[in-house]
Amino acid sequence: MELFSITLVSGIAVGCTFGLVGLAFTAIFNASRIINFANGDLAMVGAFAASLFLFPREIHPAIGFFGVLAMSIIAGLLIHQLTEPSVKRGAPLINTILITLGAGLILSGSVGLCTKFGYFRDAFLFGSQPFVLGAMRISPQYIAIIVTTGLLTLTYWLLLYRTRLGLTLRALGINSEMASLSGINAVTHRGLTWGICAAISGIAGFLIAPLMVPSALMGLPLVINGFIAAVVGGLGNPLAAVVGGIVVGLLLQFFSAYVSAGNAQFTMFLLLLVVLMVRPKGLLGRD
Amino acid sequence: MVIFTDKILIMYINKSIKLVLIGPAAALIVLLPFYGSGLALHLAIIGMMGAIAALGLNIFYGYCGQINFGSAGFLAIGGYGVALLEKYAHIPYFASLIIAVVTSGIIAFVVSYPLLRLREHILALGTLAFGLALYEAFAKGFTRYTGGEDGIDISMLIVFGEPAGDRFFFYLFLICMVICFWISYAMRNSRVGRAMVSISQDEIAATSLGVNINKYLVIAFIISGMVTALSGGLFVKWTGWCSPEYFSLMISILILLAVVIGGAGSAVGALTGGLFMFILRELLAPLALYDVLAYGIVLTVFFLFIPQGITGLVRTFLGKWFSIGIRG
Repeated sequence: MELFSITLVSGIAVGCTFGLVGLAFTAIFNASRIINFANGDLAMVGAFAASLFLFPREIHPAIGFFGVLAMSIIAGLLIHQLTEPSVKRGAPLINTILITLGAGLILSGSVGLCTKFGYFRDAFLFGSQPFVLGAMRISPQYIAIIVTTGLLTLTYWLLLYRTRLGLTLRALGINSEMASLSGINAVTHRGLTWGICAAISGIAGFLIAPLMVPSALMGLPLVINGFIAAVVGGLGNPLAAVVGGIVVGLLLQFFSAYVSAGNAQFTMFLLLLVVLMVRPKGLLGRD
Repeated sequence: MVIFTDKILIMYINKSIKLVLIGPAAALIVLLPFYGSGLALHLAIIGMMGAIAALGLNIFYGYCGQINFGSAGFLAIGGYGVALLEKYAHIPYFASLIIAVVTSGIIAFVVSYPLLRLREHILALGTLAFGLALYEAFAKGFTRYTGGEDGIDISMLIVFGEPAGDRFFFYLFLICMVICFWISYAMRNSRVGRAMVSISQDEIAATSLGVNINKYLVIAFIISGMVTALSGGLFVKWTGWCSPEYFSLMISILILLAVVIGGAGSAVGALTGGLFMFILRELLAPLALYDVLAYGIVLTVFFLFIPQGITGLVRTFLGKWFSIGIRG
């Protein structure tokens, strides 16, 4: 029972971080149909910025938090600047996708040079005193992750479906030329999306940093599980990305706790293949 | 009349320049083991391994226009096929190489059923999952048989009673590369290749002209998988060690990059790109900390400024200044 409850909570928490990366990935996908390979590296930038601004106790947490956000958003806008010429030229989608990959490598390479590819300084930001709920003892980091994921998803969903700006962003994703014709500034709005994506990824990055070994190379495993989350849930739907993330996180944790840890990631890829085969639109996707 | 003589003149210049360029270059390459240093030979073998893999991917990505992020999976089937057959079945090398290549074709056929129903970005994710699933299975999943991260040791190749050195492998790689190049070049200029290119340009138009899209995509996927597996099978025997790190996601990306940097859709391009990327990677290795950054910059610069690839660049340059056309 002890193992079950621990696995359940950690599964949901890990799943939420995958969901956040999947959410950031969905934001870019919705606005420009780009699969953003740099997503994990943006999260890495968030974790790195947190090790600079948030964990040293002499900086006030609020100021540190804005430092983290600013650094992630600058990284996101850098990628926007790199992809924009290719998007404008109407180059094949694969070119733009590979540019995001290159930009991710540049981010990971530069942070790696700063840290000599060592581990970042990290700490449990919310203390290590476990929160007791009945018989369960939950780490405050997990609670922070779950609450933040809920808030961010809700905010993003409201932005996308309940505001005029969200309507604009969705129109841009459906047909950017038509959207431009009706007076939408495509470049600015794509830049805005990159900013949103980078902010979400950055927050995901510093939240997940204490759970994994944070280093300049942590981006790739994160982005792959984020992909699986977004595809299993249903591409293009922000709520589905988070639901998919939680499904993936739970399966991953339960499989490694009860069956075998070595085969867990392998099973996730099989899951992705099966979902793509049976329901290419994802579990919550609509045709 | 003037135009006619011009044409003949251009054809004549074309032919003679090609002969003048290609003849000595071919002689230089074939004789490399006799004058080149050990390092040159080492780099050439790694480059040719990349070139074979890139030629394989080019059939699927370059001709048919379908993305494959999982080439390293086929590379791993070739490599682990050779290693496992030697370790557990004690089959001689060339027989095991053929079995591994054929197995890769069969696996490609089986996997093509779910994968080739997907298109564009979803296909990219599907093939990515395929490559990573194989990597995870070999590196972490079935460690009792594959040795996990430690990989499998492979015995030295014995030819005529002597262990084969780099010089033997150079010619082995060269012959395989020329065969693969010839296959993809001949394919491009045949009915099959034209059908594949028509799929990459417009699937609906291709269907309306009677091209069976599914059939040609499956054929391309199988041949692509077999050629890539050949590269993996040759490479592990040369290094004498089959390690999962040869088949990571980075290698899939490197092969894809090689095709794009060389010039997608052209056999010459894939060949050049494969040689260029894999030799560059080997040369960048001593940079240690800077290599990730260097990849990122090379990748981004190419896609921003030279999206048509090296051969595309050379082709426009030659076409503009010398009116020389290069086919293939």
